[in-house]
Amino acid sequence: MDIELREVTKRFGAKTVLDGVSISLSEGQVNCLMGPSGSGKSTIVNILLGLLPIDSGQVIGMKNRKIAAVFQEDRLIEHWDALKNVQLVCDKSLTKEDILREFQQVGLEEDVDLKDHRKPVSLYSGGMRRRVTIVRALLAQSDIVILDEPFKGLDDALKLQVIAYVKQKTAGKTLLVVTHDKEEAQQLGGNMIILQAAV
Amino acid sequence: MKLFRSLGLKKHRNQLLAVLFWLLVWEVLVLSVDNELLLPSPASVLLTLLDLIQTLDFWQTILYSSLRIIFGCLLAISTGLVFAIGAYRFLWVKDLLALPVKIMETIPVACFIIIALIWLHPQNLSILVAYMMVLPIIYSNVLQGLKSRDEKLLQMARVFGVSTWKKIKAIYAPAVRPFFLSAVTVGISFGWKAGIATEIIANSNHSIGERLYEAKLYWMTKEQLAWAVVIILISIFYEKTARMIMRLLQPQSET
Repeated sequence: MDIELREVTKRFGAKTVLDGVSISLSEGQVNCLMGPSGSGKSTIVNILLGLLPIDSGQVIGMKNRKIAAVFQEDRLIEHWDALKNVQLVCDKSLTKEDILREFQQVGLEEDVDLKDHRKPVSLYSGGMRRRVTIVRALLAQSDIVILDEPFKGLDDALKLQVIAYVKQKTAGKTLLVVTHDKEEAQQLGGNMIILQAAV
Repeated sequence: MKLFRSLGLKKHRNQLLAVLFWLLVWEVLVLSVDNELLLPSPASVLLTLLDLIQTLDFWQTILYSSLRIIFGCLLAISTGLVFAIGAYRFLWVKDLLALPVKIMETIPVACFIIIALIWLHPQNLSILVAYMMVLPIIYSNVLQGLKSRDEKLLQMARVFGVSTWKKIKAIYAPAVRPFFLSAVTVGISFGWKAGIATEIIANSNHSIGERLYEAKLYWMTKEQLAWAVVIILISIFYEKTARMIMRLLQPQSET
């Protein structure tokens, strides 16, 4: 079942961020949401995540669905290490070694190896933290994965590696990626949804 | 300075020098007053204390006072935690507790003791007073800690369907811990002082307060000061013990 926003309006005080917006996300496919700053991309993400109520319109296809997300901010437990942060949201059947293997796939193996995995994420660089949030989202049990600017802070070579990892792990799931970057969207493939800036 | 180094006390040099300074001030005052009954010397207070610690009654008195006051404090810590969680979760609990907590925060200890003596036996009054004095400190601090939790992390936990127990461990406990730690250390010290004050006013049997009252009644100034030193030392001991327990309870990853 596709996920749809139908004629959704969202206001923050006097400011209308979404004015009768309708979009559709194809089930089991990659969907890239693009648009200039202030066009309401993050508002749409927060509505889909159930964190923001809408003023009018309809959200279809999100009820009783398991969601995993990378938020615009990292939202990590700062004093915990990367492993514990991932274990917080994922199934108990995943072993420490399983998770460390995933870290390896996004180039975190040197920082999060068996010896050093106790380092709190507060000591990680921006790019490393971002990769931990991506692994966290992709290892959580979910039907829908929503990634809000997941690749910010990653250099080009690493970005390619992480994009490949995201595509591999989300195959068959409904994936929504919010991005500013056309190249990122092209590398991810799938449907493009372009928002216009609110007037 | 070489003496401190050779005794391995270099780290505490300033504190020791400060103590020596105040002992010197005390000694100067003793010389100017020149009346052992009004102001005994530090040496004679120390000798009195050494005499006291050799008696069984001294240790029994400390034990009885401690048991009562610490029981009151522990009761306040546990109920304060429960009340704070209730007030955080339900607004009606917060509204219901607002008045009694305000009264407990503002009422002078002596005033409360005198009122409580109308209805209660003086023997165990220090339990109630320690409880009443510590409860608002724990309640207010824990509530403040709960309110300081990271809302964005809670949203993340909600999206991922993280269990309540994991949310407590990952988000709430680290937010509350510093508030709780300072509340417990301040609360125990405050409860101890209020408990001793209660024992003096209520003249509770087998208590430090009773010993202090007797010493005052019979002009045993040396004993009075010796007991005051004991009260200070025990207060420091409980405060340090509370800090140590809190440190042990703190997960390694948060240190």
